[in-house]
Amino acid sequence: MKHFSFKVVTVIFLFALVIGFQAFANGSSDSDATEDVTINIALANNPLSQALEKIANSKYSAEGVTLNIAVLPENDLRQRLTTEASTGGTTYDMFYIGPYEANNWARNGWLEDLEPYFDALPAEKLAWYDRADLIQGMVGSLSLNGDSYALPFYGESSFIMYNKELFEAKGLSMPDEPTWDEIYELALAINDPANGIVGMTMRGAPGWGMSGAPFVTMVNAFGGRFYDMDWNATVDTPEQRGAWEMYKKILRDAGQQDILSYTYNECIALMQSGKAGIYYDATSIAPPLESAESSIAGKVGYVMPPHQKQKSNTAWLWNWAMGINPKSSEANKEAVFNFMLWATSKDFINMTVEMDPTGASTPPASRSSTYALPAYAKTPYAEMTLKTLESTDFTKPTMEPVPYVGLQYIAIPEFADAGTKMTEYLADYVVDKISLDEAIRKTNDLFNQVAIDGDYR
Amino acid sequence: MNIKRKMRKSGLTIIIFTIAIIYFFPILYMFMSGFKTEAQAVRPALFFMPTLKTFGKVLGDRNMFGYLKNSVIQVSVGTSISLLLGIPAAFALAFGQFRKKETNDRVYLWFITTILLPPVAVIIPLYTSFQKLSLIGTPWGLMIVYVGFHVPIVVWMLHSFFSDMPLEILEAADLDGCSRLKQLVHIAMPLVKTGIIASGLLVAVFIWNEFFLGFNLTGNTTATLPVYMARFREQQGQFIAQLSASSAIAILPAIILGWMTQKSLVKGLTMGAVKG
Amino acid sequence: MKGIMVIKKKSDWPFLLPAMIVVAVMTQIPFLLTIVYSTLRWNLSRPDLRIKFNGFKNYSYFLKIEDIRHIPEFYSILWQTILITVSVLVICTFVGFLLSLLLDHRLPGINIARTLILGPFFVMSTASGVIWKTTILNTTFGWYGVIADFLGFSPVDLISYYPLLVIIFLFVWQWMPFFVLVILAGLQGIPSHLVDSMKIDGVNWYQSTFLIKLPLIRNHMQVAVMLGLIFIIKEFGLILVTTAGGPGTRSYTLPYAVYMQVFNASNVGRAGALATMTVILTLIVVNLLYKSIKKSGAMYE
Repeated sequence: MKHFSFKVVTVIFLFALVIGFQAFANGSSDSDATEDVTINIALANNPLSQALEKIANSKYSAEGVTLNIAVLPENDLRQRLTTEASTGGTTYDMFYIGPYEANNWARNGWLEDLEPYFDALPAEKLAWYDRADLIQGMVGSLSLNGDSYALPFYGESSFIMYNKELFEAKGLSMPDEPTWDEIYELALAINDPANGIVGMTMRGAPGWGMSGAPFVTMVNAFGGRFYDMDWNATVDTPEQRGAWEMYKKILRDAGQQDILSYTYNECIALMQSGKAGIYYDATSIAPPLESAESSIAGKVGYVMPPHQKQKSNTAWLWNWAMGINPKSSEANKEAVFNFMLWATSKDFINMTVEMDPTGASTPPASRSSTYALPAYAKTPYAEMTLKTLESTDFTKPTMEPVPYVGLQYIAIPEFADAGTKMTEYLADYVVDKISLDEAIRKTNDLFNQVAIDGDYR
Repeated sequence: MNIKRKMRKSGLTIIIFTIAIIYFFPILYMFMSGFKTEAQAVRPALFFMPTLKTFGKVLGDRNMFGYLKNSVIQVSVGTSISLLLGIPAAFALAFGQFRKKETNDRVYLWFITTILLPPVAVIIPLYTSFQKLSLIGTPWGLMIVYVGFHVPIVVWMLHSFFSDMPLEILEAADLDGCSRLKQLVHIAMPLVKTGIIASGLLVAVFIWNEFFLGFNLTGNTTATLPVYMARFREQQGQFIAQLSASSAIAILPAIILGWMTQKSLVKGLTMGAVKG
Repeated sequence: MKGIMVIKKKSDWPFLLPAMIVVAVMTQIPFLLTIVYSTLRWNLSRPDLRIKFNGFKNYSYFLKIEDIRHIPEFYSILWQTILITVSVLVICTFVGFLLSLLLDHRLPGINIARTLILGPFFVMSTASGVIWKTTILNTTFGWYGVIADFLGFSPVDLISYYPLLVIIFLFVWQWMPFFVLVILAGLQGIPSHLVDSMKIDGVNWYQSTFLIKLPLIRNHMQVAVMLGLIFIIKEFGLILVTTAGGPGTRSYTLPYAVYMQVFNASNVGRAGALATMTVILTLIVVNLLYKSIKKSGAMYE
């Protein structure tokens, strides 16, 4: 009896030591360059990235390299990677980011310059990769002083997707270049809560990269802007107010029930089930709508993104790209570079088209050759995707001049926070927790504060 | 027993069980849904044809196994080290002789106030230093933080257990020339066996379920189950069966452990705390 | 015979020091660093802006009221934190007490009922949050939607429109079992002869429960409330996976706000200020609670 608990504790302790030792032995496998390396990758939870995860886990093999991929909610991913890059961490070897981060991080030295890696490639590999085939607009958004700092995995703009069946049933037709007013009227007409049909679905969940994306393009379309050339905040203007009101109108009068918990994943699920009429989102959302899992495959129409006061350039421009963590070990960086080449190569694209001819797993808008592939060019959305991409100019997002660039975001580091806060105020306003005046005032004050705190003004 | 009493008893039983089942329903439903396929799980339903496919899929997922392993490591090693450090500390605080008499009380109070410390108060320096020292890719960084946060719980619970021990036994041992260490291991520890088990269990459940530190101080290879669970929050309607099966695996050990040991837990908590 | 230990040559510090060192290095020292950071202007995402000493500017960013009509957001977050904490505490204590009374009967299978009610306490908060959000509260795919359909009313998205209610409800669901656990133990620890003598004396239910049993389990109530308070203030995961602090900042608590300051805004200085204020608030609340429990205890003496 006396020694019982002593024995129990000893046993637990020894057990723990054994497990701990095993963990220790397993954990120290990626330090030596001549031994196996494990590269840690985090991807976003959008459909194409999830497809990459599946394909990479089953089809990627490189000698002595183990892939460790985690798929994180997009907001989490951005927060983790940004804090990681800014504190010089080595948790992730590859950074999965967009032009917003790439430009800034390249400047800060938080991304590895890829030119030395390309220079070190043997000639055949360079030819096989065919850098010139990458869509130059995308490449440019990921470069600094002519050097590439990230490779585009897939690119997107935004457009309107609509359920042709529902439109026909109500005898409605979608204009080729609709205005937001027209979209609203159409959404109202389709909206049929008694039969469970939502007129228009849009992202409602806050986050600068979530509801912020469609919302900021709406602001641009209404002729609004966030700063004037002297960095005074210009949120409290009739143009911006128009956008705020339209966003709310659509969601409250003709939108999904659980407004604020809808990320693009939920919107896609709703659209795929045939229960929504119109959907404004990224061009990269079209493939899942045409995939085998979608009940509306083949019945989706695509038109240009809505304009209002500003007649064109009302879409967004984004790509998800892969960069290398400059703080990783040399062996890891090399392994990541090879993985990046594989994932952004023509071989990868061909493989995905073979695997899924609907194009649901094929990264769009990264390479020109993708659109030359017969199978891919036949997809219903290919043409409109290209058209919207060509219509964008991310250096001139608004009608009046502004001191910033970026179509669905403002390319300043503080926007990750300020933009998220803005979408939080927007959410508050949409569900009637605060008035429009209150939301606009808070946003305006916020952006003014940012301009002062960040020494812009 | 007369009719009235019997009716009262039956009525009470029905009420209690209704409340209990409704209270537990979300977890019960989650366990059930783990046995559905995704198609079956989309619409809430109580009756369906069960299948093991989803569990198989989840268990076969290499990543899931990794998170499970990480949680097991954190709990087993973390609890053991917490006990290893906490038991002697509680002992010393209860019986130790220090130069100043108030030391015992002061240090005990210092341990207690640490329990009040919310993890947000330490996350920034911990995160930045972990990044610099590359501790996020190893389980040891997080583990030592867990130990730091849970040793005070062990000390707090065991302190009163130890204080309840009659001094004479230890005095006698002293006279026999028994070393402090021997006193602790051979005499004191067996006497507070319940307390050790209770605090060990409590710490184990806490570490298994801990989220905030695990969320911010881990990477792909070291993430624990609560962190993995949080990733499901944006999967509306798409993977309910998988979510249910994964949750079932994640929470089963803690629930079983908690259930089997409720009595010890209560004894430890109340004995340890009631005496203040 | 001496009533104290014989003083040995060997010191007792080796028993104490390892624990103290680990705890100090992992909790106290980082906290001191956090306080230091709170006085700096340090934005991780702007390495071009030098880290410089900022005095109390980070604190005044949150606290300063320049225009009484527009008070800083910090105060609503503070209010929400207090509201959630106090509501959950009060509900858990009262309803927990009632549930414990119910469970304090010798009925067949009572252990099973108790075990079921206890379950949620052991479930990790992110799992329970995700389960509630996805399978129950969801208006399309969850039981709430199904029941609303059945009863014929249109389900309102609770998470978007009543976030605080949802948070309070979920916190209570998660933590009340703990209160029940402790309070029930107290009730069951009341000597049976006392219970019998109450029956013999013809004491009615109200008197026996509130005037006799309640004071007897005071210590247990105290443990439940103090520990429960600490659990509730710290909770983060449940909020993250359900409302994510939204809509807006309507269901932010102080810990959640700190998290967003660090990982979203990359502003270490401001996050440090928020974290320090959170600790101060925790200490104040715990102190208040402790004092009021002592006071009510004195009443019974």
